[in-house]
Amino acid sequence: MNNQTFYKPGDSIFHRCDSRTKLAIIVGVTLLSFLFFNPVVPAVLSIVVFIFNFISTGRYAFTNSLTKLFIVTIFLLVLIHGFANPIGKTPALFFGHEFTIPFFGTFSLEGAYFGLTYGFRVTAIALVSLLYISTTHPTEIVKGFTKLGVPYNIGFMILMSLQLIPISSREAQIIISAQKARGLVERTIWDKIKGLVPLFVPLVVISMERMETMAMALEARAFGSSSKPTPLYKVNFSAKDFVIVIFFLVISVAAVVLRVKCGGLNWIGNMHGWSNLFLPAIRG
Amino acid sequence: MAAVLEFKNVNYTYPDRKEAALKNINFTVEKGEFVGIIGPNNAGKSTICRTTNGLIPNSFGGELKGSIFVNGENINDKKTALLAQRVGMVFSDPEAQLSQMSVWEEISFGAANLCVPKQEIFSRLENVLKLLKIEKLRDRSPFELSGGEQQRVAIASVLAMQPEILVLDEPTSNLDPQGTEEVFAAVKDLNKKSNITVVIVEHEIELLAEYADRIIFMNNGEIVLNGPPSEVFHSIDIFDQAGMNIPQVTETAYILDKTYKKWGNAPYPMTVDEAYEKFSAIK
Amino acid sequence: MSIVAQTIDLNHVYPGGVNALKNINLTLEKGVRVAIVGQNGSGKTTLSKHFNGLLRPTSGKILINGTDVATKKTGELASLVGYVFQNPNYQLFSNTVKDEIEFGLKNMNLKAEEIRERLIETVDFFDLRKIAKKQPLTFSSGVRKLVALASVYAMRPPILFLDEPTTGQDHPGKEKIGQMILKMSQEGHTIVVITHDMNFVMRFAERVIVMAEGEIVKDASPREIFCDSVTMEKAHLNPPQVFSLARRLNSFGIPLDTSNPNEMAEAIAQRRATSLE
Repeated sequence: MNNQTFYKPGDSIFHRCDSRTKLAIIVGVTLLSFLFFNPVVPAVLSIVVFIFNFISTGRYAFTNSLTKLFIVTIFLLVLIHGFANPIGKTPALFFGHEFTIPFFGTFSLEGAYFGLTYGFRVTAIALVSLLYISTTHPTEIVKGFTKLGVPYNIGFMILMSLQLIPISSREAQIIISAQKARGLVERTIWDKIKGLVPLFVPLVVISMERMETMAMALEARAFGSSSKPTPLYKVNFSAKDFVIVIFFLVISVAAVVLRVKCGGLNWIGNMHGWSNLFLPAIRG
Repeated sequence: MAAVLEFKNVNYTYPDRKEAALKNINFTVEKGEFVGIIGPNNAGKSTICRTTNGLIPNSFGGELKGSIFVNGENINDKKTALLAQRVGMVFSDPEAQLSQMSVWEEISFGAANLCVPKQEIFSRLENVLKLLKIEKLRDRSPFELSGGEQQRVAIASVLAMQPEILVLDEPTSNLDPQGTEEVFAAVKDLNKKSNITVVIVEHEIELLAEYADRIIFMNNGEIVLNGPPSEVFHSIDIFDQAGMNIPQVTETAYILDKTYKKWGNAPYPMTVDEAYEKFSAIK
Repeated sequence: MSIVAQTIDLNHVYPGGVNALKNINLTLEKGVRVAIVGQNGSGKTTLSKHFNGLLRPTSGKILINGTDVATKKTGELASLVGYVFQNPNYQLFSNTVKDEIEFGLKNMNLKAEEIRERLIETVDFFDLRKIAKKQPLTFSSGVRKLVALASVYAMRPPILFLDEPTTGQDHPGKEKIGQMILKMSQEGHTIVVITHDMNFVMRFAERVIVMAEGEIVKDASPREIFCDSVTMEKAHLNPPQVFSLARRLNSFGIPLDTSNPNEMAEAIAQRRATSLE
């Protein structure tokens, strides 16, 4: 049933982590990538998180749609900012030539620096979120939130909606078959739009029917009679969770200290060549 | 014997409907009984189920008149969530009534909502897993089970609340014959071995004829017949009028009686076993 | 009788390696009423969905009126093979019964006049005139099943598949659907019913295909199938009650193929009459 969600069952270290630990990792990575204004830190984070993803879900780390999307995103951001960002003043040299597009401008090192920084920031965060949702069972996600203080009912509703996704998608498949069997042929885009009605109406009707039974079944099992039902799980925050959280805490604190003492490691004002995208120019 | 469930002059009309869904319903169910409710669609069978645990009128609205007693206590105006531990209800769509990620969580869900202590929940869990012979499904996801297994999980999940009655609203209408038999065998077992009171709405009359102690026949919101299966299925004219069928062996006896005058006063058989005994003895 | 549909060495392997259909060779004649029975997972539905292209064979062929199904899209096959799903709610979406019936006809790109003609004919055939302008979802599940069936019938496919037409229906509802099946087959439509309901099969089918583990175990008349206890057991099926009784009473001279209460009563009465002489 999980082929419609990002969750990939497994037994890696990240699968075995408490979901709150993984939330802490997300917070840590987000903080680190926004603390410094240079592409190196988020790039390193992206690579590290990508390796984490590879450790936990193997091939899926490459094949999932999010990773692919963000490789494209970085590329686009670099292009757009490289040509169009007004911050740019040092032209980048391609085999000794500047590269200019009419109306947009000349591809600049500062723009590329800017685009790379933002590209890797969002990528790091996206990948760490992927790590979370691909290694955490939907129930665990919800339980994690409930343990962090989100009300039980709201957590439960989130869980139910998550479960409805694969069920509805299966039902949509049946409905599509049923309408195709009645000759629904999509030749044009207009056909496709018209084709949504015979798909959508039955999907709503069937979901409503299901909801009615669900609601009755929940009531019949005393759902909502107490806002604090008996917790069925022991708190599974283990030693390794502690180690991971402490590790990220230490790095984050160190990073904050570094930020305060040395500034944002921002060398956008001192660009001389391609290498300065990742390394600051040696002052001299 | 004490009445576990009693309906006294119960009338009910759904909101926005003109015709009453229940018209002057009176019946009692004794402790340990297995009662089957049959009748055409829209006869009021499901409506009766929903009144037993307060879904009517609490969730459906409408006006409910008369009194319903569970173990002598009037349950009118009680909330469904409170009644849940007294009347365990199972519905016909096996999948839609399940919500948890594993069978054991599903079964523990109701008891946890009632704030039963954890140790007690786990001991009940083991108990109902055994009762319904689903120990092996314990860690599976309810959504990847067969319909018959899902229905047994649903039954287990209400039994874990230790209700006084088990009410099943067409539990087999979405199942294949194998699933239907699994569910019926499980329910019969609960009834006979654990003395659990069962009220079941069912279209499979031949199975009901075999398992039920008593059958209530409903039509147009009224109870038309109420008695032991042999008595109820004897009133073939009433079944005919409602367009309903009776077990084939019962019909055979009826034809032998009316057309061939080869019967007498004996009750009609309802199961193949009974029929074999009676027909092999016809002189 | 002319052959409407035919499968030749049909095999279907699902992704993941489950061999759901193994060398199915089957012919369906015009106007015949066929029931496909078998446990869940026996291949009934997989087989049926091949006829209108909802599934494509891993190997082998399906011919409808001599045309290879592989050359046509599902949408194009709709006028050749009708398929009514188990739950009518998966199909119905229109504001009125009339629109629902017209949906398939419009998909076929028929002329307005032809659509009108067929609509009227279908509405009369299924006796839906009184509710033609009403919203299908407001009706009982029995009526909804009829509307779904009517909307497929209107396309006049030579073959109609009905998936579990009796699920959730009370006895009058089943009878009604059964009568419509008889009527459609009299008009020359081949009707294939996929069902678990053996009483319904006995009453309305003239040919039964028993499936187990992706194969056709037996293909014969309902009477023959239901007294063949070996086949029934192999397919994990229970025959109608009367057949089980006939088996038990066989040693008393009741024929194994006694198939309904009338026959059973007559057989018992006769046997007693002769034994008294």
